[in-house]
Amino acid sequence: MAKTHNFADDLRAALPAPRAEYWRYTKLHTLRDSGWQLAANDTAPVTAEAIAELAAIDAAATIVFVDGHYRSDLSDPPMAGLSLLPAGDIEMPAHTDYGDGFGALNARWNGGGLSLRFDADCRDQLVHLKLVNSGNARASHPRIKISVSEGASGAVLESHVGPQGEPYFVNQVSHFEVAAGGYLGFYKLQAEGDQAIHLAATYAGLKADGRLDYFALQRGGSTARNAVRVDMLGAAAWCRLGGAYLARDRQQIDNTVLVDHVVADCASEQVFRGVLDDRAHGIFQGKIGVRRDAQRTDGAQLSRALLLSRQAEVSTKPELEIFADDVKCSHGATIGELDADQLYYLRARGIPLSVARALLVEAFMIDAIDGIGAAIVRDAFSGAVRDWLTTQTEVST
Amino acid sequence: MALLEIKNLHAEVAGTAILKGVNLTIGAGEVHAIMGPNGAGKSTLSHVISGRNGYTVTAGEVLYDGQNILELDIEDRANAGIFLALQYPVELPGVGGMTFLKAAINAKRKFAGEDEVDAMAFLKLVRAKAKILGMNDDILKRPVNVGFSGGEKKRNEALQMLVLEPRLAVLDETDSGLDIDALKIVAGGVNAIRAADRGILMITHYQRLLDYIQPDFVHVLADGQIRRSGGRELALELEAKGYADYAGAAA
Repeated sequence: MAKTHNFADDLRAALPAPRAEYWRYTKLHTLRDSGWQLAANDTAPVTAEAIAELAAIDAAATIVFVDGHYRSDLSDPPMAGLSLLPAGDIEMPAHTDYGDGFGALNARWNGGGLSLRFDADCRDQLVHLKLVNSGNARASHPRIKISVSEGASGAVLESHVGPQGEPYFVNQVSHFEVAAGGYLGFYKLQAEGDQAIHLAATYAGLKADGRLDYFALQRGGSTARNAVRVDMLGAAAWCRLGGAYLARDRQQIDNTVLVDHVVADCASEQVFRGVLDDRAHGIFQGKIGVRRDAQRTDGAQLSRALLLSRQAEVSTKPELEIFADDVKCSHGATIGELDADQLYYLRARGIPLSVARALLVEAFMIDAIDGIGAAIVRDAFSGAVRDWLTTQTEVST
Repeated sequence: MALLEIKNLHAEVAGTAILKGVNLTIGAGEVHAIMGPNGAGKSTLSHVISGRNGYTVTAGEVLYDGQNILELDIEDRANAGIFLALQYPVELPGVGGMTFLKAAINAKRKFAGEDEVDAMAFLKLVRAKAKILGMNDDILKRPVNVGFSGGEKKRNEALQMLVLEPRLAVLDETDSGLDIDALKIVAGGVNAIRAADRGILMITHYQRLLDYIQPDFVHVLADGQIRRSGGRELALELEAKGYADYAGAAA
């Protein structure tokens, strides 16, 4: 991207080309037209509710960003074994996978970021990264790097919140590095305000025996895209990319995942579930790439979507690109409605239709959420699903 | 006033007439059995009473406590006290047994203008009822009917019935798929709710169930109508002679 001193020009240049393969379904016209204000590193006021979101989570440390800027005044000091580095220029790998310039836009306009490292003696500590937005048509560019040292293990809950009814734009880039024998549990709750545009691209590299348990629950934003790319770089690396999304009104929620098996003997799994109501649009693009040397790869992908309205839509694009000859790869995609017999059974026991629907949707989502490695996060995410369903019941009655 | 009064009930499924003028009256405290050959309309009758979609009533009425229930939603009929134990209980993956029972009991309480059930009282109630049916806690925690054997599913239906304490229980082929031990247990559950203010309607193909739940009245349903009514001895006669006498009814 040619550097200019004008954010609006750079934003325009970052928009994907009209025929970009990975932007076939998700439309960004509201991004193009809005008068964004680049988020300054000020002490923007944020609501108590935003700070309180998920406060009950018992994390070893809570680290708060407001509008993309790290806020030491709202954050806990890091616990022992966790390094927090100021990161004005965190190195990120080149990210040109998707035919857009949002990575470069982030690199150009980010207001610093954070690099967090689980040192060798870290064992299973949970860090809560809370990314709070103040709204006000602000554009922010959080930049986060998480490293897990050799043999260490750690978990991160990353939550995104912001006000309802106010547009704002989040353009995040993250990079995870898991060293040999390391383990990272990464859990994202995307609960942005209903007018937000949330774009996030994550690049993860796993060394030998490195493991990544990843789960993203998306329910906010008018347009939200969570793109994750994992490179399997060392033998016997393992990753599970899980996701759940809940969308209504005219929300677009996009999950784009790409696992690149570079070396032999690795296993990866992609498991996504979505629930779409009203005129919402869900997008799942999932790719498993297996290079010539990546023999004995075990790759699996499954996408399931539940449509609650006749106008809701889901676009699914599974891709397998396999160059090795001794691999086991599977993929599947289903799109369905609530089961009429199940609804009848619940109603025949006196349960009103709205409650019966909520119970079945929750059951569908919980099945995916149950796969999350960290119990504390599992409970919080189940709660987040129930909140969404409760809101829905109120709206529709 | 009769608890349930079915008058000249005609119903069709996908344009085909199945019930062709059923008349049946069940008084409080009575246990009735409807027997009949396959395809007679037995299950259709139970589904029309419960309000299942896909069954169109073309004539007649179903009065419960004197009120025509055919316009009521499925859940409102249930909350008014009508319970249908399904021939094929539905699996609910991801919905725990206790969650299901609690949602049902709270729906009924809300309908009656009562507060939600106390968590401890609820647990005690369910455990007490489960004990009658020889069910352990483990099965209550599992998703409803998922991976259950035929006998476990039928017991689970009986458990729901005992917990919800209906005034009219309709049992659709509750004996199908049960071995003799399971049959005795489920029958014990049904006998446990026999009471002066309750009515029970059993729908069955075989006489066997009636050895354990003794009916006051037996009816033969064939080709969409009640062809004959009598006492227990009618069931024994059917057992001996089969339904051959009613096979010509369709002609």
